[in-house]
Amino acid sequence: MNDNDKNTNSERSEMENDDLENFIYTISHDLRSPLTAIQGMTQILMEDYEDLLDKDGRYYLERIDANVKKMESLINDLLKLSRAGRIKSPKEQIESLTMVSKIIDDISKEEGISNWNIAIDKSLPPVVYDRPALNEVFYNIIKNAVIFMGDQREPSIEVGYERQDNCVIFHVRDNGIGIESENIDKIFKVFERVRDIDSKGNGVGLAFVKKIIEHYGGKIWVESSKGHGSTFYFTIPYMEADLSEI
Amino acid sequence: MKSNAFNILLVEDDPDHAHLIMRELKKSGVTNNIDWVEDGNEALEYLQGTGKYENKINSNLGLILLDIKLPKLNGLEVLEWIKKNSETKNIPVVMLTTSSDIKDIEKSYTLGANLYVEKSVENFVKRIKNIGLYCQYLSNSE
Repeated sequence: MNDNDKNTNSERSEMENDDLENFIYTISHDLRSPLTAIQGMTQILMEDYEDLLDKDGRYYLERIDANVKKMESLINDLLKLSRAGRIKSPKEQIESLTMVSKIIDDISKEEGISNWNIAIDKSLPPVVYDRPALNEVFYNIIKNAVIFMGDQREPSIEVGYERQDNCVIFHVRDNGIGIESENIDKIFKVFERVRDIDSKGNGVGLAFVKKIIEHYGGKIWVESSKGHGSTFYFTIPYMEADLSEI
Repeated sequence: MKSNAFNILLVEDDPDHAHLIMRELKKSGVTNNIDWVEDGNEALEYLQGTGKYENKINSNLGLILLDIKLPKLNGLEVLEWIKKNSETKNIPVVMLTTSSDIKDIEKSYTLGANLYVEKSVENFVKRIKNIGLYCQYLSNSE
């Protein structure tokens, strides 16, 4: 490839980034704007005109409210997905044990879970990575483990790792509902919801995680079978002058 | 409250948003007159007393609520004009927008915006009420 080709490719790539930026801007403004008006007016109806509505009327308003929030959540997830491969934070040393412990505390509060068997390997290593990105990765995978636990009598989640020559492989193992073998390839695709449970997710979380992991040169995969839980693995490559040996 | 006599200029192209903003400000106790214009050009005409605002220059303007994505001239261009103009640069400007783009937030503050408020879907009404409190604070400190 000569310099001209490189310049042309670089210009093209810059143009594509600009297009993407415009797309994100359009999504964030043009789609959110009417939703904001619907939500605002719904809230006014609920607060100031409640007495004028009968039970059915109030029910329909609540459904409008719930669907608007769902739509906003979808738009936010799409925005996150679009940004995942482009926005980088500076790499820094991260205590993964501290990060994972906090995420599990947060999710436990969000989902109101207690008395689950949650085991975090206390020797989870420090890694050099993009902090917000790694937080999203752990958060989404652990949240999925919680959401797809099903009616397991003894819910269990385990977070661990293994060192390889050129990377750390983290894993999150659960004993939830698992995934049918024919659906395993679909699980990282956007808007694919292959597990037969009414979840709060939009089908974006794992696609988002995959995009982050691959953006930083790692891999992600899952081992699972229906009814026997899932184990998600992902790799964090050692960086130049990696601090993980500290 | 010593005085609440200053006028508020609302620059907002979406009539539903404008309706909600004005309604919630009034409801939260803001009694100031609110003038509403629908695009960036009209905002500059209002501020300069030109076009349909010829000879109607508002010398008692105490707060500007400014959307970013506006027809003709966007909110950031209007903000830049306001903050470069000696007659208007001291008027507090609240950016009130659906954009959560970090570039819009940074640019707004760089250009001299006093506040940046995102019209979030979930908390739009609540955030307008908070702007109402800001209006009252400005009225009290006049």
